Amino acid sequence: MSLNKKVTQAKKVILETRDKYGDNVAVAWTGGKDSTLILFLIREVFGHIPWRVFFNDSTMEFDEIYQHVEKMKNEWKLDLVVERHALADLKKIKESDDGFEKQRIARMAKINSLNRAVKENKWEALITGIRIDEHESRADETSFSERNNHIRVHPILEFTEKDVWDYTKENEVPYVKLYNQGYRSLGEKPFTHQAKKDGNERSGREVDKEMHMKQLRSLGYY
Amino acid sequence: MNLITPAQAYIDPGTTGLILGGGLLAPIIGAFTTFLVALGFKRVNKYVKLILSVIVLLLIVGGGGVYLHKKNAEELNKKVLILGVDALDPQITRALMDEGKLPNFKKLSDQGSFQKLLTSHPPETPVAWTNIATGVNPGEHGLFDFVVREPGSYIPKLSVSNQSRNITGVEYLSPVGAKQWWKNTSEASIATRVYRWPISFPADEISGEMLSGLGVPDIRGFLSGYSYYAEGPLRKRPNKPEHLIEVVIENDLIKSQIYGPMTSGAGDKINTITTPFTIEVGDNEVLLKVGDDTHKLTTNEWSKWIRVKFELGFLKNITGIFKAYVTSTSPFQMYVTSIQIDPQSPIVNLSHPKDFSRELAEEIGDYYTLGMPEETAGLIDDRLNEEAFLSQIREIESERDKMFWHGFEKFQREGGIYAFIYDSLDRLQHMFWETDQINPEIEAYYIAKDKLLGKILDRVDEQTEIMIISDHGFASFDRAVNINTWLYEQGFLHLTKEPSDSNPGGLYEYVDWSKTKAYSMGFTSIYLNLKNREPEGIVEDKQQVIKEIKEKLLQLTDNNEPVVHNVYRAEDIYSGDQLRDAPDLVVGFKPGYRMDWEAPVGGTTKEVVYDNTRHWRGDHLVDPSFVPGVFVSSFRTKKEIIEQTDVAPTIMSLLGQKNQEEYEGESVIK
Repeated sequence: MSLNKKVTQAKKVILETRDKYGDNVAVAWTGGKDSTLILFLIREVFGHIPWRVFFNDSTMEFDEIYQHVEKMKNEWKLDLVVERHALADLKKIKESDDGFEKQRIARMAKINSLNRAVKENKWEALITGIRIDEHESRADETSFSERNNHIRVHPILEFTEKDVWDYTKENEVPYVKLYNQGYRSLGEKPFTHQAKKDGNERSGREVDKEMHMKQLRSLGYY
Repeated sequence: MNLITPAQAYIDPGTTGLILGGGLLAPIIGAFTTFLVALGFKRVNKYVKLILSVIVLLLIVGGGGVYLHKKNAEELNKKVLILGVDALDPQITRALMDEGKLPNFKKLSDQGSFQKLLTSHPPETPVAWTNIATGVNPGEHGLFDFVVREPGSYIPKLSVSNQSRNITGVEYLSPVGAKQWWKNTSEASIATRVYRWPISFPADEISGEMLSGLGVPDIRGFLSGYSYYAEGPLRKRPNKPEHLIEVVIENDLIKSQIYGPMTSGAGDKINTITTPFTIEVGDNEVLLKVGDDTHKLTTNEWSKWIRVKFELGFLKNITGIFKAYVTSTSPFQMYVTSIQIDPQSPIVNLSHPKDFSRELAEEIGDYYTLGMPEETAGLIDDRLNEEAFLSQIREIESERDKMFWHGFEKFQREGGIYAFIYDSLDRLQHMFWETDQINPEIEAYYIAKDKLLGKILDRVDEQTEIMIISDHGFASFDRAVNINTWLYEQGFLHLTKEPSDSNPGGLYEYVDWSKTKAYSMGFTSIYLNLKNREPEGIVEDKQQVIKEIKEKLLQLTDNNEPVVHNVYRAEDIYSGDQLRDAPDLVVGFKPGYRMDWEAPVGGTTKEVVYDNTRHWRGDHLVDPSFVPGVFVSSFRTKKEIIEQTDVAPTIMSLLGQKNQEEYEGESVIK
């Protein structure tokens, strides 16, 4: 599929989200290149962002991300909802001396914050910027994927990393300059490093447990 | 780039640890490279090996072959044919015999015997067939449940897959810790053929031929996994392993890709190797083009076998085969089976000799190589309709019949022993079980096997003894039970959040181990969180906790009726070296009940007992007393109740072999 076609598809999904879920929608925004591109596309479709924008604040993001979020919030007049990690979780992360355990707690904290926000705001759908080529476990996602208590909408699922950059550069979509310093995917600051040369986009980030569950469930008995 | 063989893709707890741990995957990448080099080297040497094999074969035929033939004919006297039918239920068989619908079963029973074959704790395919194969209990052979914990961790793993990683790479190992009868017959130089025996992967080097059954993975290393291509947007459902691919039709053409084996790239990334294909969608005709081949697909029909090549780089390729089923052209919807390991060029040891899987394919055509190829998940997920599922079962049975007769002709010529296991009935009964009557599709299957038996009886000579055996029977599955939730409600298991259906927390995500005394895993197993055994074990008085759980579990009721028939302590039902890895308690459910969908992998649900609403309508994971298997033989037996561990010594007796100390059972020949 050509990039043009992918962009058209993405806009179609955005329109469909509006038709299906009206205002009960939020856009999950990390400040990174993918979800910023989503915001840009939504503005292309509607001229503005008709939904609330959800920023999951781990309190451990890069300073540049916080600056970018603040700047874009003002420029694009975003109705921002910020959910911070629970203090108890942050304390646990701080106290743990096991890097893997720290990441596990951080991941759980992120999911907890997100679920809390979805529940409190009664969002039916959450738009995110995930892409199939980021990680194996995402090969199974579709434009609309059911989660436990809401629908995930993935407008740019088919975009490759190159597509994102091609579109971003050509249309002058704002992005954090850290990407120019060798970072390809931005997670929480303590767990993110510059990608290895020839490495993959998320090589600095943790790989989740989905593959293991997939393997177990392939037995077909459950 | 490094190939993840199916062995690697089979993520065992060790691997999971590596993947979850991040960064730790790197050390094994080197090992894969070595493995690949070894693989390539083997191929180069193939012709040399072939020439050597021919020389050796000529020597054997010239000298030893004559001796072997004589030994079979004169000393052993008998030929033994074992027809295994997974899940053949004694009650249904008896009922249909009484109705005159199974005349050949009746004929054989009148001549010899028709009995129940007691089944294993728990009554599961891998456990039961391994009891039968080894003549010993799970405490000796080590298979206790489909899903077991990796000792020293709380991580569930599939017991049927066992891989080893060493300096030369990754390889599959048999999960069975005891000797199967086919190794004994092979040591005695008896011509031995074993086709599709569950848990015979990788194939053992026997004195004859082996084609592996349950345990053979697909090309991704999974036990199953379909792909569904459709015009979007599609909806993915939670907790489902389904692989949905949204396609777009541009100028009547779809461009997409087939997902193949996984590789580990740089960093921790797992890549899937894909091969592009196109589909031309006409009004009545669909043309699928992959590689140089074009396949015409007809809607609502399974395609012929489609071969697909995955390029791994460095001029290395892996091929797989699959079938497609187009359910609609507008909107476009196509179901693709699990990609099977190519029998003509297998990347794992599907058979012995290694070339046997190819020889068979050349003789009977390509065939399903996956251990459990029936697309049950597609039916449950409503991506395949009942007719499509049933027509796949019929195609599988037709392939199996061809395989059976291929082996049978050789057995007729060479004698010895021939064991063939049919196992689609198990999946058919899971999907179409009815509580009060025999479903017509199920009845048709029993009748088909009777016809097969009729043809066999017409052909065999007087020296041939026949045994028809099944591993377990069947029961209904109306209500699902989550024992983890029950343990939570009873205070044996502690969670950091309330159980919920929307977020069951698989892999014990919310379990607080510092307060947990017991947890459930797999379909019938309860483990104590034992001090000095579990990573965060707290239980010191094991017998006291076991007593409490057992007493309370027997009091669990649903609509005022007990849910559990019995609860067994490991030491009361198992013995042997592997007892240390056994679950501490084994639950025997009443018929109608089965462990639910989340507890086997460490999840909890809101209710302990709830309705089973899936198309998975029947099951056998109840107390063994309710679901014995079948034992039909051409000879009379001396025992009223036959146990699974009696089968192996009976085989050896029929073949005139004396060494039977290693078996727990005894020969049942009268």
